[in-house]
Amino acid sequence: MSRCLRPFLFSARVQVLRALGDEFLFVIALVQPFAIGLAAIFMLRHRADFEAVYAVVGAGLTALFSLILFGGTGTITNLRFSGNLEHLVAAPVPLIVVVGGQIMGSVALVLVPMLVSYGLGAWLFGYPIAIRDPAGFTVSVLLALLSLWAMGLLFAPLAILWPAVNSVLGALEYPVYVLCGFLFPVLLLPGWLQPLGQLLAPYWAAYALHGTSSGSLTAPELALAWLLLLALTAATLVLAAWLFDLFLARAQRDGSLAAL
Amino acid sequence: MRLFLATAYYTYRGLFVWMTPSMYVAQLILLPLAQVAFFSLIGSYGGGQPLDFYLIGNAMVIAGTSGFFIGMSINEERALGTLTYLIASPANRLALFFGRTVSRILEAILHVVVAFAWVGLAFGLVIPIGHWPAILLAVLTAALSAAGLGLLLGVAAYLALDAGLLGNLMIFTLLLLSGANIPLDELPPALALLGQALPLTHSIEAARALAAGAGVPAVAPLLLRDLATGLVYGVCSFLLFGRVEDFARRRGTLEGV
Repeated sequence: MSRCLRPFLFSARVQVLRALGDEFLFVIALVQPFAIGLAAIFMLRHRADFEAVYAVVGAGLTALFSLILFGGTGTITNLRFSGNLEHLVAAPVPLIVVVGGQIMGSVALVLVPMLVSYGLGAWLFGYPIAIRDPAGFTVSVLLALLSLWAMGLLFAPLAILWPAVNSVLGALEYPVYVLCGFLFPVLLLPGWLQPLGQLLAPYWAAYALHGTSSGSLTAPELALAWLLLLALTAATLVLAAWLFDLFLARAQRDGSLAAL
Repeated sequence: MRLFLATAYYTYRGLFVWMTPSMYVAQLILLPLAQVAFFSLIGSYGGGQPLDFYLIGNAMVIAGTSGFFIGMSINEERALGTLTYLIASPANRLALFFGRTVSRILEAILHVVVAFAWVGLAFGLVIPIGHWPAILLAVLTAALSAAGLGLLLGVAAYLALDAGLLGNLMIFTLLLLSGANIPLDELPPALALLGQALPLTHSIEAARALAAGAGVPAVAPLLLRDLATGLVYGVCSFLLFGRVEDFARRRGTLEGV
């Protein structure tokens, strides 16, 4: 474990430094939560029970998932293009550790959209942004980041193993926003669609974050959300590890590590 | 004419440099539904306007993708190193410049039509058959108008910033200020004024009126206004490109400024 921690952290650090100069990530981390948050505030403020924190959390979640989706799916491809993939595979550190560090670096940037969204609501509109359950919210944020990090780790080999799957992954951004209830309750969806979101970690992340920010969840409900987040994270990591092994075995058999 | 059509055709073919056919189909089918559903359900949850308001607005705003991809294609000419050859050629600049908009406009129209189909299937908003020709006219107007802004963004990206960044800024600006999700009279006055100067704003208003039963003569001023807006952006882009070309020729900086 300790021999993996240093490369993991180093990979995360390199990703953060690289991402600081990435204009696309700038759009996702700053522009998207600002625009979606602004739209959500204007569209939701007609509700009698409107609280700006709902729009802030939801907008931050959209940015977080987009970061994970596009950051995760492009990770291995980018390593191929840069010519680093073969060296990393040959290195004694497991590839999943390096890629995991890169994705964690992207996740670390999520603090930026969250703060942007917060500033939008609090400063621009003068809405009070009160978190009713700060401790619960903090734990929920950490678990949400962990679960989405695991999803990013799953997307990385998935995108490279099957190009057809990669095509669909790229179009998953808005469907996940819809199915997981980032900015509206999933009760608005047709009945047959609602359970679909509950299979996804972002749903429980949104459930926990909205619930703790508004104080609407009981302790058992919150505990259930955390438990499900942890379980889905574990399952995702197991699947991701298997897919990484599959990718490496196939690439080394076909000699396609450096193939574009 | 031959140059115009050839540019249009190869711009479309160039699409598959970065996007596979399966990805294209996935985005054609999934993206319109998901984007319309996301914003429309937020609006429905907010309760500020009827659901139809958001459905039509968000279906129409997808026409803005024409501008996004046109801006990207111009920037790609420089990135791929083909811009110098284009400028060195004796080709008519008008045909060369505007020819690349054709395939993007047709593609944007296709996306909007798919969005409207989903709006009917998933949300039950059925537009009578008799209204469809007029709606398609509004969609065409929106796509043409957005293309004008896209051309300007492409030239601006050549001068300063990345086209992807500007394109995304454009998409989000249209989502916010075109009236697709927020009525202009609810925006601060300065933003509402900016919204009036954007493409799509008047086409969206026209589409809503047409879906409610208005005739083409009633919405013609709106459509003409949107076309004029797009034309202004397009002409500005063409003139700006000429200036940039002249500047780059004199300074020997065609591959960058």
